Amino acid sequence: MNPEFKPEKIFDLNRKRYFLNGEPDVFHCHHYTTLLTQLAEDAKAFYGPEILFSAAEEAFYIALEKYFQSHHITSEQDRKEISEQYFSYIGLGLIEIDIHGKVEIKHSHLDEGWIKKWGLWDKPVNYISQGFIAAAFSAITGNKPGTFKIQEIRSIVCGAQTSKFTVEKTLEN
Amino acid sequence: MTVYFENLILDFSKIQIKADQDGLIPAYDVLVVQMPTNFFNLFSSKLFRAILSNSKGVNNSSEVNENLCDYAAGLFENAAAYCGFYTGLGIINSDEFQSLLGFPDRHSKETLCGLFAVSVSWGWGDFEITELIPYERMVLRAYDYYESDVKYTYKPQKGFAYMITGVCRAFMDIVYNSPTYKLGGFRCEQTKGIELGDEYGEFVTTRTREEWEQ
Repeated sequence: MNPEFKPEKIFDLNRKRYFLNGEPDVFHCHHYTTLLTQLAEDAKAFYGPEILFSAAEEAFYIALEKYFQSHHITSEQDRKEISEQYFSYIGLGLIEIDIHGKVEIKHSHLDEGWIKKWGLWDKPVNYISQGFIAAAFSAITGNKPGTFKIQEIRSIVCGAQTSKFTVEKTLEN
Repeated sequence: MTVYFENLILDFSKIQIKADQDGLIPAYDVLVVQMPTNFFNLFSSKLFRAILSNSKGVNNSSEVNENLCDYAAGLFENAAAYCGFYTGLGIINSDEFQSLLGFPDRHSKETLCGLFAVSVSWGWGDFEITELIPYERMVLRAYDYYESDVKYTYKPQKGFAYMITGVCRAFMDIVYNSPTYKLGGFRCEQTKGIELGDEYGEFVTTRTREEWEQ
């Protein structure tokens, strides 16, 4: 039986904070996520895209790993399916993960938001989803963040129908 | 007004914002996403750390790096202002907003409170408007806002609540920047911050031009 992602949403009326599965969460729009991505691009001299990637990797690793632990999700297959469902639940899009190192995104908040705002782009900019993929692979396979290198080889923002990614272990791993 | 605001927050927090079959959340004329708050704080704090420790050899004096931080801070605030402005416009024109608030006048305190009530229900922070002069000035206090959580991992030298700063001026533009309805009619300054050791965050929004028609 396929596992089902069970969102536990709490709006704490005293603290005025929103929690998803125990973690503080926040709603934002594509104007914010795309402008943060543009900011990362502008800050290339200071490794902006890498920092955006690593922020997403760290934050999503914590969210996924905590969920797996608290719900006793142990097998790679179950973890993969929960990761895919979580990606869609939070509105990042529709993702298919092949744990042998290939990922396809069929709908993407970041790419479709970017196109809505600025039109097509000449290179991939979905550092947030790349960070998510790195986090998911670490959490699925029981590795630490920083273990996987993600390359976006085809991108919706460049006019492709879907985005495709390759996943490899970094040299240090 | 306090009871009214609290009730609005409760009402908006009950609205289900769900992804469609494509894993996207189209709502209020934008694509919505919900993400861990630490993602946003990690990105901003890591970027400021990288700028401050800039050792690339190009103008790497501390003064230049601080200026670069100010420039980056402006970009973060600008991103928040655009987010607040366009999402805010979608919100005030939505059926949910109109019916929950009873079809308020756009240039009213009710509309402004409604916008902040939505942002509270979205997890941005605990807000209170402590002073409002329509078309002129607003002072907002923020308690327990997510951007202040940065204090656990990073010690900012200046206010770090770019989201709230940008959103304050964006919401004032939506409600009181008639007749242009564009961003840029107001500026906002963060004068206190939990992340700086203050009891609460304080945000003072004032108009940028004198020649407006009211």
